[in-house]
Amino acid sequence: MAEKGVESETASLVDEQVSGGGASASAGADTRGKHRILAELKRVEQEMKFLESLTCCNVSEWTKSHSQSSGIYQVGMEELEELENTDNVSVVCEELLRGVENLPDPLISLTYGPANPLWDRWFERPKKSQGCMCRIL
Amino acid sequence: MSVSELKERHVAAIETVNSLREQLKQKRRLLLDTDIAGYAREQGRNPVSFGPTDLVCCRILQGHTGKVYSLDWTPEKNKIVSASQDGRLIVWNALTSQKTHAIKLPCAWVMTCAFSPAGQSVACGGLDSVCSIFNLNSPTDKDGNLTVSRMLSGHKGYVSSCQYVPDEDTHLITSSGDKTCVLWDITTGLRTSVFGGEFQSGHTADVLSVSISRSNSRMFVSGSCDSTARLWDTRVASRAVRTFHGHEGDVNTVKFFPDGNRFGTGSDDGTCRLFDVRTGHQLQVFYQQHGDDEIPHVTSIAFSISGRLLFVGYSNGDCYVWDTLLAEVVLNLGSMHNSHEARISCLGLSADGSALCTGSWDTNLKIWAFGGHRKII
Repeated sequence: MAEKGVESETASLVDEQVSGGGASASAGADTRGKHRILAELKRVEQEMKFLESLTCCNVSEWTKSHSQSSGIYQVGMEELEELENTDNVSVVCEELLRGVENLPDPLISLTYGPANPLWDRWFERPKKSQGCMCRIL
Repeated sequence: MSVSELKERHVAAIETVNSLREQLKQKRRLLLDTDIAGYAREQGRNPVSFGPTDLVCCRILQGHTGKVYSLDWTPEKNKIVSASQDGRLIVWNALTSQKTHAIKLPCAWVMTCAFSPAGQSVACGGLDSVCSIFNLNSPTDKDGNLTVSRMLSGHKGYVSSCQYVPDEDTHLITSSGDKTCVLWDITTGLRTSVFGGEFQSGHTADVLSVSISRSNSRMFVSGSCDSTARLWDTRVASRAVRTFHGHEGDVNTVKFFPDGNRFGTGSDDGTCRLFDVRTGHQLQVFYQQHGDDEIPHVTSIAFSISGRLLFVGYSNGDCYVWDTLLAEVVLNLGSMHNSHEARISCLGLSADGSALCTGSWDTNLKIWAFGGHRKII
């Protein structure tokens, strides 16, 4: 996704500059050797680094950030559309209240049942006292 | 395209995104017609009340010689695993206070631990960037130490939190300082999915905490130093389902609400918040001035089994018990008799909700239970 976007944008940026520098390339087939292409790619990368140092900005970061912005924008638009059909908080609160209050809770004095006798095991004498390190306070 | 044209397009894109963000904020504000406390008061609800001897400390688990950083209960029985600065994991029988295992770790800088659903293994992780698995039934070596049965390697930063997928002993999720969360297959030791990171959209800073939904184990939330919490679907690693904004500091801890449709967060900004998974709404902010000038950070949170109580540990040693529905503090375990002597770094409820375990920088763990008179409706 973002990675592919970065690669395609960076690659296309490099491609334009490489093809612009390749004076010997014909309009159709590219007859430059592999080493020539690699050398031109290296030259473009060095130019990018030089430009970055001049502008104090990171070109590759811009490219990545731009691509991420597109993704973020798409997500944002989807969320905006979703909000058109989203309930108010008060609707959610009603559901929450009903759910919480109908459940038994061993840590609350006034609670729905059924109670479980095991809830009070923390205050019972242990079955085997030998070797036990309980410190009931 | 020239560099200057690229820069212009970038600036325009950022402005468009910011404008959209503003629209979203405004749209959402229109839907925030109340919060939980406002609604509950309108419905005539009263806060939970505690007598002075209702919630008591009924066990002290002593044995660590360093700060306790993390703890986890078994889903079924009374066992707890804890991780400490002393470089050990200890497995406790919380009912008898006995230690059943004391595991010396290969890397002492542990930050998190977790119990497997069946209770046969424990996992831990920390500054070594690895999540290590120990089988509690394995034989020990000549020095009496349990050896690592599986190492989950791949993170490029510290492992801050780990949790087994509910009812699955073979999968767990980790969060990391490398800005990602990972779903692991423990059987193979391989990463099944990576959430966020360099090539996918996700957190933009260290991830500090994860919590997996019990009602839908494909959903989990993560909290990060980028001040957001994110909801993920394990089937879709490329981007978060939703990002939750609101906090103004690191989100140190996240925990799913018992019903699985909400989750709580705790942050360096001193607040806890409750968010709704389906609508994305922020339902409630939990904040109370502690009396000091400096705002204490929230270190850990846990919900009671019904969700009515929210237990919150703070960096100043307080441990507030909040009435979740009324957003009021109903008790402070940090000021009670037998409270910890230093900050509470981790909290957890037993599987049946009858006991709360707190772990502290004072090296101890304590078990709290309801010892008062219970009235069943």
